[in-house]
Amino acid sequence: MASTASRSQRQLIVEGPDDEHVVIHVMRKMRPTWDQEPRNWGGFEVKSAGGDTQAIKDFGIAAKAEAGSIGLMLDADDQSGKHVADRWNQVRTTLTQLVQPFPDAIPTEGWIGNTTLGLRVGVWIMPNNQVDGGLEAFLTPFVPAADDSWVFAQTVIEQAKKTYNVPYPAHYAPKARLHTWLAWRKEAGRPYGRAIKCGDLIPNGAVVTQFADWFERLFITDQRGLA
Amino acid sequence: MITSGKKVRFKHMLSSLKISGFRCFSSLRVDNMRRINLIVGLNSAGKTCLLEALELLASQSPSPLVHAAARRGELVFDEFASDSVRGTADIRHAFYGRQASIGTHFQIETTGVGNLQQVRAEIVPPTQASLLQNPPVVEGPARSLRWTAGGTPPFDNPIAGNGTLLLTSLPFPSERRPVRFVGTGAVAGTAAARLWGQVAARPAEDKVIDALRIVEPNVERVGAGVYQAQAVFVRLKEASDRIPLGSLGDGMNRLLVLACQLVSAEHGMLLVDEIDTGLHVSAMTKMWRLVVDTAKELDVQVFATTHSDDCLRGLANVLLKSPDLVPEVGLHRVQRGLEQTVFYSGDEIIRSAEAGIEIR
Repeated sequence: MASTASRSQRQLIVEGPDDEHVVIHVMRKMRPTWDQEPRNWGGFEVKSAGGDTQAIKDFGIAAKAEAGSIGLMLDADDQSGKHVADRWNQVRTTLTQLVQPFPDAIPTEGWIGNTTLGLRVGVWIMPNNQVDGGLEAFLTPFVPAADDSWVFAQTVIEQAKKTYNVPYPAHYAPKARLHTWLAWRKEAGRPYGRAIKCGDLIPNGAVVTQFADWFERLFITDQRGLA
Repeated sequence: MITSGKKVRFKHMLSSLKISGFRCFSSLRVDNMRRINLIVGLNSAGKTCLLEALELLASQSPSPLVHAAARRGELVFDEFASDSVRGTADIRHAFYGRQASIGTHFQIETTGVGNLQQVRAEIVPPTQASLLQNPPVVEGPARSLRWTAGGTPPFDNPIAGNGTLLLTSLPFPSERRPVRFVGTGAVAGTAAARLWGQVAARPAEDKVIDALRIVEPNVERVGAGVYQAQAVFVRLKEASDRIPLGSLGDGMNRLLVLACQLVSAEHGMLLVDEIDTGLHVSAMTKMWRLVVDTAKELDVQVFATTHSDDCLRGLANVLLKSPDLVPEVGLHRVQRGLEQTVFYSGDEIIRSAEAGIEIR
């Protein structure tokens, strides 16, 4: 059967599967009263694009739709072309025909705007729209504060670099540290999303609260209720 | 300087379009038109109106106003109409706001550079000449539809008091390109036989048979004949007798019509309303392969509307296999309230199909 339903999509485009699962499990923890099935949050879906460049391209295609809400979540890394300001410029280039006026910088609480075609669009740059650090910096506050092995994990990755010259690049140090720490949990080496689900990582802090609010404003709150 | 004395080769493809005051469009621009153009949009956004505007522009003649009324079931049967058997069009529906007072007009034109074309229809008071030619036989305010196409002199068609167009003696456009319109209604029996008759025994006939094989691979021959009324028949491999095409299902009739109109539109334009009609998902890719390849070979510009995701996916499949065709294809979304269509490139059509991104 040809599918002919006209859908107004609610879609969050993310770079990869890690981002996808983090968002779903973070939102389940932050909004426990919502139905556990993300699709029931209003036909909502998180879509992994397979890379940052593809995510931005996909966002550009999806943002030309007629109705719905489309979000983009990118990592800001300490690498050329991937800093927060670079990311914001990439978004600006993608939406230049569709959103006017376009803000100079992304707001701390995440950006939400409307296209001239009538679509709601939103952007979040990991970790907090202000600094570099990506998903790992967003997840770091989720490590229980009392856990001294978190400090030790940093020592371990530095030692591994020094003694064995292991090949992780400097900008992946936070990733190496978090995966090392996760390897020491009761069930060793859960991926981020499952680690949140199972309570190894506990959503905590001001940034994740802002993220959940941004998410809710973008996808759940009645579009007419917002400017 | 040496000139060949030949006319510069007529460039058939339209690249952009501006519509003013026509049907549901107060104003609409369509840019980036390609060889193959898919038109999407919500119900009553104006997809069919866009096809009708293209038909008027490409034919340079007002007669598609009556054809459109026939397809829409808007024909008015009026004792004053020139052909009361066939009916005619209530001209008011052709204008934005459905009013046809003196001065009301619509205009359809290409924009940009080269190959400039324009048609314009305006409601005017009847001129002396048109009154002599068509003395007013009806009550109501006397009006004419002034038709201006390109560089040809304006031609006035009388309008009856009830707003119907009296197409008495139509001007014959000097430069005619074939323009074929495939509507949503079923075409079978005599009409199908007539279409087949236009291509039978011509080289293009093979393409039509290929089209039928998309659904029924065993088709060997096609012919028109009399079976109570006129009908198209096919012979299947190893079958003892011919069978009526219609008995093989709606999809077969639809493919026959689509393919016959496509090959008859050589160096012209094919307009298809709901190109996926009657076709199963599995036939969609093959249908597009035939349409895209034939359009390129015969220099046909195609505009086709659809509501179907599968139809888009079928086109994306063809583009994935033949990357050289990607620049030949574009998608335009008509959106109510917007004065410009939203364009998606061939690459974007492929990606939307791959990643499940909504573009309809």
